[in-house]
Amino acid sequence: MRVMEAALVMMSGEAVVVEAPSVAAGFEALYEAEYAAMVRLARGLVDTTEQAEEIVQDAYTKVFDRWNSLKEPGGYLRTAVVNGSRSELRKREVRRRIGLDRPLDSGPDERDHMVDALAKLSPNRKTALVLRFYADLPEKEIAELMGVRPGTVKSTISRALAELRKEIDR
Amino acid sequence: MSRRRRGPRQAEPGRDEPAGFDQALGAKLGRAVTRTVDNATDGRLTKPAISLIVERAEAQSKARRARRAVGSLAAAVAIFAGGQAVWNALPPPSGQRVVVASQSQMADGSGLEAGSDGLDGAGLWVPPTPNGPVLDWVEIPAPPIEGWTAQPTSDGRVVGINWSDDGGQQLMITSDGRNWSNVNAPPAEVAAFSVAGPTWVVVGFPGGRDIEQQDVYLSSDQGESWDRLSIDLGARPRADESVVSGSAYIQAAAVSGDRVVVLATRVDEETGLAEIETAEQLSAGEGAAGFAEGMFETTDIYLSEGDEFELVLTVTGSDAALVATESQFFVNVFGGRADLAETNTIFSSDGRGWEPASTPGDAIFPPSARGSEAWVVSWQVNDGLAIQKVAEDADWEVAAEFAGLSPFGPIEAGVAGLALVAQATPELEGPLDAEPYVEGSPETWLGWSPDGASWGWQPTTEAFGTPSSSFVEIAIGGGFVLALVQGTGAIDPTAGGPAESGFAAPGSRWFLAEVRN
Repeated sequence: MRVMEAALVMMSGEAVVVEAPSVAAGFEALYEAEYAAMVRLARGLVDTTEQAEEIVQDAYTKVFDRWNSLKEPGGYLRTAVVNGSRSELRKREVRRRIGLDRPLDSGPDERDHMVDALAKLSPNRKTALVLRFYADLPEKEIAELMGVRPGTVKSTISRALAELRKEIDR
Repeated sequence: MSRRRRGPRQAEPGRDEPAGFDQALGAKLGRAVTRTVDNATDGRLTKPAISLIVERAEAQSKARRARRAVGSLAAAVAIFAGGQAVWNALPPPSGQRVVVASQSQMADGSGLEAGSDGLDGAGLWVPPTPNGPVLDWVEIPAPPIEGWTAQPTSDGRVVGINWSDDGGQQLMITSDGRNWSNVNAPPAEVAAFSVAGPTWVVVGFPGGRDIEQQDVYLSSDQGESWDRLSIDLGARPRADESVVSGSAYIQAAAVSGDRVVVLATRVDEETGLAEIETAEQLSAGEGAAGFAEGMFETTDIYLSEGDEFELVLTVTGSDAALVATESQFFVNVFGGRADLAETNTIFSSDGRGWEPASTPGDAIFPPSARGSEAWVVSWQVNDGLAIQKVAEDADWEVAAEFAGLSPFGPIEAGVAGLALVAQATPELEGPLDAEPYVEGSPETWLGWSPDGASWGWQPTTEAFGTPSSSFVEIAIGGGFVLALVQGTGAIDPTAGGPAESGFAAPGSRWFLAEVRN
């Protein structure tokens, strides 16, 4: 179902403002082009595909909500995915610290020593490493996504790698 | 702002590794994550129909409108019930919005009743009822400091660390949130600092990054001059006369009166091995989840009463925070990062004798101090959050409670008041699981209080015009409050107000609120 049609039927019995065709086409194009890539990005940050899909779908709702005021929908989408993932990591960290969450167990076929060690890092350090070495983003873009200076990204990655190495050596 | 984070200049093993090694490890990591993601997603992704995304966006929009309506109604009732509205008479600075502090007071002086679950009769989450002022924010250019390093001084200014991209650093200070000047810092790389009391303290590396050479510098004239105290973090004897090995680094320092306390975290490899063996035995015998990562990291508490530092206590766990009031020290230590982790808060009136500081609920974030008071926010499972104060005798008293909220960061204290970021509706067992509107990230709320008892609440979406679940760091001065809101786009100047503004590009944004006491 196309966006315009969806908008027309989603509130039965109520008058609905129809989205402009350019909005519908643009949003649908972004959805088709980037959905899988965004899920893969989120999946690199959080530990389950289900959570990753939830985060990405939530990000797309934000993009749709603000479509008319977005100058760079793609950039905003990626920011929303990274922020959603960081929020999930942070919530998980808080819950784990007070004993409400146990570490996620990955299936035996999915276990990877390196990924297990990555999961033990703090949300910020994990995010910086995944964006740099999995998403292959330059430090400047990582700085924009995480809301810090490029120098901070550099030091965060350096310290995260040191901690990762320590975890692996244990 | 949060004191839990560590400064980038705190030494850790591996910091000076050649770039080639780091790059190799990073590349290996990238391949491992790619492999894992490929295994998890290849052929398994089911993209939902786009109509579902559209429906979801509309449903969330409707929920937001409904909550704002409830909040507006509550505020109107509060004012009608005998509250007062105090409008700040500050003239508008040229070219800027008027800064307004509005205050409403419930007839009974309360917010949401403690013990309620934050849901109304229909099962809808109810926003917190404000019984205090809210702040009005204006966006400002980014200050020259890293936001999370900002700390308030006792005279109403804010100090933070500026890092240049080439690694140089500088302590900077502001008295209005807009204009910054350099602090005359000691000749060392700053690893930690505290400026909360009349005596400022800086922990630094005088000789580069040698983690065994950290010095403590004190200033009683607000940075004009510094006195150096040496501290030995080398290998130390244990009670059984064996020697604890492993690297150590100072995490925090604070001054109360003429006593200086510093926290140093040490990776105790020998104890760690013993812990692992014990935990593995437990795990094998009882099916437990395993050992607690990080439990073999210890935090040493050192005290100086004007001369050499001495080790006075070692506690299990790392990631420690330290604050000092005029007469007490508080240390907050996380036991580790895994499911066996515990949070412990201990206090001392002299820095030498330490006792547990029990607080109702779970105080998962460290306390914050101003003058003679320490403040902490605790998470009362399924009952929202409680804001507590301790004065002279380490007896915590609940100053305010709010249902339906969970703390999303430590409480921040400063001369002008206190601030707290909370999240709507913790996702816990019980009735809140049935909460209907939460999809994706719960909404974040910003609380502000001049006295700790009366609190005004506003969604961060309305305060700053940002998406929900924004990361907000707060620093409180005497007549101003600074907020760093991370990961959002720039305001579209053609949009109506902050809540309706558009977003153009990712990045962090700074906001300033002026406070008239």
